[in-house]
Amino acid sequence: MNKENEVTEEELAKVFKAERPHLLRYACYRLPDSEDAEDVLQETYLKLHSRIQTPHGQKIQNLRNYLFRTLANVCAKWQSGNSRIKTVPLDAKVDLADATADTSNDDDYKRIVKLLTEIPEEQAEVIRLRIYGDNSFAQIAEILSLPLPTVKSRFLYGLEKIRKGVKGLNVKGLNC
Amino acid sequence: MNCKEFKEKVADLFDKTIDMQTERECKEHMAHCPACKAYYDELRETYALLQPEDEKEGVDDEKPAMKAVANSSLFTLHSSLFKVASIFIAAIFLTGLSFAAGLSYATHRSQATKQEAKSQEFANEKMLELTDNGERIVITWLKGTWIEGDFGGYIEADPIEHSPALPLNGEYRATILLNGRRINPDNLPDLPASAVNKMEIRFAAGRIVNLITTPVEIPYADDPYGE
Repeated sequence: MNKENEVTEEELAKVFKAERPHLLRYACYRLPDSEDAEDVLQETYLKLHSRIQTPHGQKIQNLRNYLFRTLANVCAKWQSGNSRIKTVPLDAKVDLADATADTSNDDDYKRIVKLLTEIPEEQAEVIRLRIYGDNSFAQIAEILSLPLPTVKSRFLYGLEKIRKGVKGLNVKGLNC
Repeated sequence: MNCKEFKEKVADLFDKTIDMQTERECKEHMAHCPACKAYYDELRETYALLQPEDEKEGVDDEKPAMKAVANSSLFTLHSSLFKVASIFIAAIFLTGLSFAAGLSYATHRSQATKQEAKSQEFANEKMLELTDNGERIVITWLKGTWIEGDFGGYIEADPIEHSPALPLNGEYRATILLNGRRINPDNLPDLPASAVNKMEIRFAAGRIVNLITTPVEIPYADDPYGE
């Protein structure tokens, strides 16, 4: 193991397990399919797991932030379609989905995804990382390699645009 | 604090944490500036719109940063009980086996919080059980599934509840859920080969089990052992 990384498998597993709900929730709102979210989460873990075993790998300063950063990259790659593997889900053949289907939650999920698609992606990304990834603005700045003020302004602009879209209210900010 | 300074600071009210001085200054400013108060209220309402329904409680009434503080207090309150539970769990996880990746084989299409709930449910499943030979992971998969892993590949003709040859220190068993529910091995569908996914079982340093499903052309589909 690379001494510079100073990240052991146990630490990776521990952080991944602790952050899994947030990672998964972020991925679910990033990707159109929750099954894809599960897949990218697994791919992220495998990628990091092999990375920490690389003798001269990149130094990892904050494992949690690095996890989110890697997940965001894997999601982006996934969305580009380069690594998308078409699968034939077994549940498409086994009619058990109806037993667990929750249409109200699906509607809620679709509602939120629709709101996020109506704003620029860079603003939606900050909102996703903040709300669903449960990251602070400082953490988001590190994950996205952006200045902190940029992260905050993207968050605010995103909220303002969503507000305009939802209620048609004239959110001009402060005019006083 | 004037309006310009307020706008520079208002994002902080939506951060995970906020320093008390900034919060107090923002509150004092909003108390005297209806425009800034209205602006903040609209942002807060929009923020609440982005919360899943089952997590909305409290969002409308509290600033996110303040809510985080409240939640951390609750966590502190219950931390003692949590520690006791952790000790018990640690005793079960004798070899430090970590399930970093989810093991559900074909989770249903649902929204994010549902996924989270299912993950929690899965975590509570009794995946490990102690036997005379140590821990076992219960693994159940469908008839006709192509099993490929560190121990070779073969088509499983019948559903099994445990893997007989997992090359781990001790014997592990795991449970696979279909649509968030435990598969009933007594009532499994006999799927055509075209519908079968490959299941890969990889062991990272003998500690972590990852199940990856990808499409696969089943070799020697008529031969249950692929020979």
